[in-house]
Amino acid sequence: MTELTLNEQNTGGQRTIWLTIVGAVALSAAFFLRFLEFFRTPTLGRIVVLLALAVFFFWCILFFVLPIFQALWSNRRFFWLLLSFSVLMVAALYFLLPYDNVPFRTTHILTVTVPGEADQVVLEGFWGPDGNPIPLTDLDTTARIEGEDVFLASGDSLNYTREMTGGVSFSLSAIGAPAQVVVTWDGRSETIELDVTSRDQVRTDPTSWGYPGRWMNLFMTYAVLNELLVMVAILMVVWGFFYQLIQPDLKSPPGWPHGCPYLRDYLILTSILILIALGERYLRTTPQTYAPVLLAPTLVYLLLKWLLPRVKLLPLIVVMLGVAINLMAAVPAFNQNYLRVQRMEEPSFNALAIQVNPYETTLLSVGFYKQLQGAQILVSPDSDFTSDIDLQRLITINQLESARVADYAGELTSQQAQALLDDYPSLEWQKRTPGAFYLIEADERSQEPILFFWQGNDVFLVPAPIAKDMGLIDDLVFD
Amino acid sequence: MILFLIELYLLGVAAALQFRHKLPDVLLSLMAVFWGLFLFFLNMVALILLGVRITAGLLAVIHAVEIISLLFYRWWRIRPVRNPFESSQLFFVLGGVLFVGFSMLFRHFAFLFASPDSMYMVVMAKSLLETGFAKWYFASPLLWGIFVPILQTMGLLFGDGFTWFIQPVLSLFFLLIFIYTVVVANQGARPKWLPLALALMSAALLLSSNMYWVAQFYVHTNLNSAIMLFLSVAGLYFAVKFDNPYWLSLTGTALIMFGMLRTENVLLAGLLILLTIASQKISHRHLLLTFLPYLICQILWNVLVIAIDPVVYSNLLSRTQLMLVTGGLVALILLLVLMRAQWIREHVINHLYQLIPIMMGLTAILVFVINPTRTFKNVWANLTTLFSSGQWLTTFWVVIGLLILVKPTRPIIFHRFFSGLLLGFFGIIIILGAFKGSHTIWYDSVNRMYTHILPVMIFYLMLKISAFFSGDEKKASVAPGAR
Repeated sequence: MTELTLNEQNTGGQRTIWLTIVGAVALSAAFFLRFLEFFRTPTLGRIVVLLALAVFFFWCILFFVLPIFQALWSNRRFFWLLLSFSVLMVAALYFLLPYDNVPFRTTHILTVTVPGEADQVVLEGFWGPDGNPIPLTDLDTTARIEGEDVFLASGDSLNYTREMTGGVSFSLSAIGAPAQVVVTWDGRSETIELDVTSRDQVRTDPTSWGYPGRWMNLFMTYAVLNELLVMVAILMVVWGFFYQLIQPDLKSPPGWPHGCPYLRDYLILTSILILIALGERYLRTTPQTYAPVLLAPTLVYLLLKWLLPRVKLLPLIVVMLGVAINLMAAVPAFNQNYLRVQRMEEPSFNALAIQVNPYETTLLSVGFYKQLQGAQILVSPDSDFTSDIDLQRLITINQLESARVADYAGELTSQQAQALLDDYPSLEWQKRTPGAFYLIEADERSQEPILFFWQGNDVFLVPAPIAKDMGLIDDLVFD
Repeated sequence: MILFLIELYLLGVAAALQFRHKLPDVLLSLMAVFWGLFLFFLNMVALILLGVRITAGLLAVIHAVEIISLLFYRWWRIRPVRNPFESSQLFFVLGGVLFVGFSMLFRHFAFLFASPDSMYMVVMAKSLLETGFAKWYFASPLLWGIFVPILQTMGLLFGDGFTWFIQPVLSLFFLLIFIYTVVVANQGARPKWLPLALALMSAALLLSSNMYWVAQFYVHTNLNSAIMLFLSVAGLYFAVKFDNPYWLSLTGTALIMFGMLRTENVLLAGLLILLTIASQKISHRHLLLTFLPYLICQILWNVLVIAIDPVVYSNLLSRTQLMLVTGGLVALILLLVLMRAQWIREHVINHLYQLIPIMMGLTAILVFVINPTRTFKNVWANLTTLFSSGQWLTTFWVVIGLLILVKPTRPIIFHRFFSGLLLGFFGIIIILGAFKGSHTIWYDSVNRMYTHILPVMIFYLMLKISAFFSGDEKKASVAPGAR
């Protein structure tokens, strides 16, 4: 066997590297387009994601895939046989099974018509692919537009044309009588029967390829072909892997085994981040894509890993840099959201309660927690605490026996308020807003309710016996 | 209040003196603050259980008796005292001046960070003084531990609305201990300036992150949990590094306080105990002495809470869950006691380092399988707060990035323990998320829990950086000041 010259070895090694790069770029492009929403990623983000994926796949191919291919290549006949079989298999799958379109940024056309007889059809809530509302002024329509709704009569039509990735959504309903509406999206029509009692939510197909321009057509052709070629390569790897399992005497040419442990943490980290990016893509609730944010750190990490043996002080530099950025964030000009410690002029429990800015019901409950627990509470219709939310909150926090609105006059005159404070002991608890809560203390805690009264900004919690004594609730009957 | 604080510190010094000449005086003078508060906590719990009406005067008397008893015990053990005055005793004086001085300073300049939780903790404190363990409002021991409410009673006993100064003072002393331990842990590293540089950078990293900064003034449980967890871990580390079991006194006491701070801290405490057992670097006798007190205290406390069955507005655990936790603690005691048995050693202890991550991983996977969308969204929220919205700024970017990046050139003592604890912590976060849910705001409970692990992470990072540089780690060398 002829020994390879050094030049031939170098040439062979360079060829391997270039093939690996090409494979990595192809795989990253296919992966990005298929799984990580290429067209919804900003331009800079696209560069970052492509680069991060390409670098990751480069190392994966070099360490794990190349040895398999090199093992297969050593048996040329079997290699070509396997390749042909993989191509045939992918072609068969492509033609026999429905192809799941990748959404591309193309021109989409929506037409909504009301062909038959109908009183009125209302189109409400017109949303774009990113969940943002589309201005109705962008519509080309003969129908009447009122506010946020479009009112289509019999014979009216509505057209919307736009270059975008994804579909639109809106709701349709019929007024007066059932109606028939034809919705055409990128040339495909669907007839919807509308009922007067319900509202139909319409979502157009986000994977429709619409009407691409010339360059987009070329790109789409490349993308589909690239994806098919990648699938062929993946199939080759799978067959090759099983082939190697059953051919244990077949020796794989050495890869870079000593480099793999060196990059092991990078490969694990990037794998995890890619999985998280996939999870975020399919389970997210916001339209924003986070792939660039998740994958950019892998590039930074690789850079730091390369720098570390050359710049021994790197860890210290990174720590100091982190500290410096942290300190800069304390400057209000750089960070409006910085949490700040406050100084309390007169630290008291009441001041603490006000500082934490709780709901009014919580503030009140904390002020009189012993008295309110398990009590019954009545509020007048003109009180600030009549809402169901407030009453329920009071019940939950204080485990009240009950809290309800009762028919009595809740407003006190200033003389009545003063008389309460003068004639009975009371606890004062400042509010967040001007004014205070006053709990009028009875001699003994009774089973009778506590009633809410108010005067100006002040709220008075008065036990029923005292309210009766004061003549505040003469005609109120308790259950 | 000043006299009370002086007495509190003296109480801590009296406890610390029991370890004099076994542990460095500088450390003892700083730990005196925590041990003083620890004894204050135990006294309060005892008085509440006995149904005694608590006043500042009564506490002062009890503390005085304890101080005298401890000093007498110390004298009785080491008599005759050959050289009563040593220069290192000045550390105790300095510590006391710092403690009282900064307490007064922070009491005067009432810097504070608070949330509704802070309010409820003060109400818990009031309830403890007024009705003991019988009656609770808004929050109960099924939501939080009672350590912080008992700290809050300090101010209430002197007519203050609450105790706002204690948190920053504890933080200050913790920072001093933290700096000291980082220096000591990395002594012998080259270049010579490295240990001090690492210590100062560690402190800077902690203090510069917004979340940690406010935690120092926050009336809540997070920073105290961080302090106690760190002391527990540091005690274990140095006990192994210096082959000096007296360091375990930090672990034993800090773990009790850690368990009394938050209801979920028991999970991390249990993990810490298991990892220590798995390391097999501490003798059985010392393991029992260190961990049994915590386990017994935690079990007794849980039984008390189960018996009380507090019903309030907000609870984290149910009685059933608390019973399960208690059962787990009993199992842990059994493991501790029986770990010397041949079968257990061969089939359990020797494989614990592998079993723990496997069990945690399986639990996390199970949680994911039960509700993948919710689990992923929780994890996403956790990551968002960790690296973006949680007010940690670049801290975790730096710490986690460097922890993965930096490879030590020599072995680090106890490194499997550290790795296991850090991975276990985040595993617990994922599992807890299934019960509590997570949000992307800074106030999220899980985001605040990152405070607990951050000092340990930074400590371990500095060990790795030091090991990356070079230097021979001295085996069983003595910490400065110890004999």
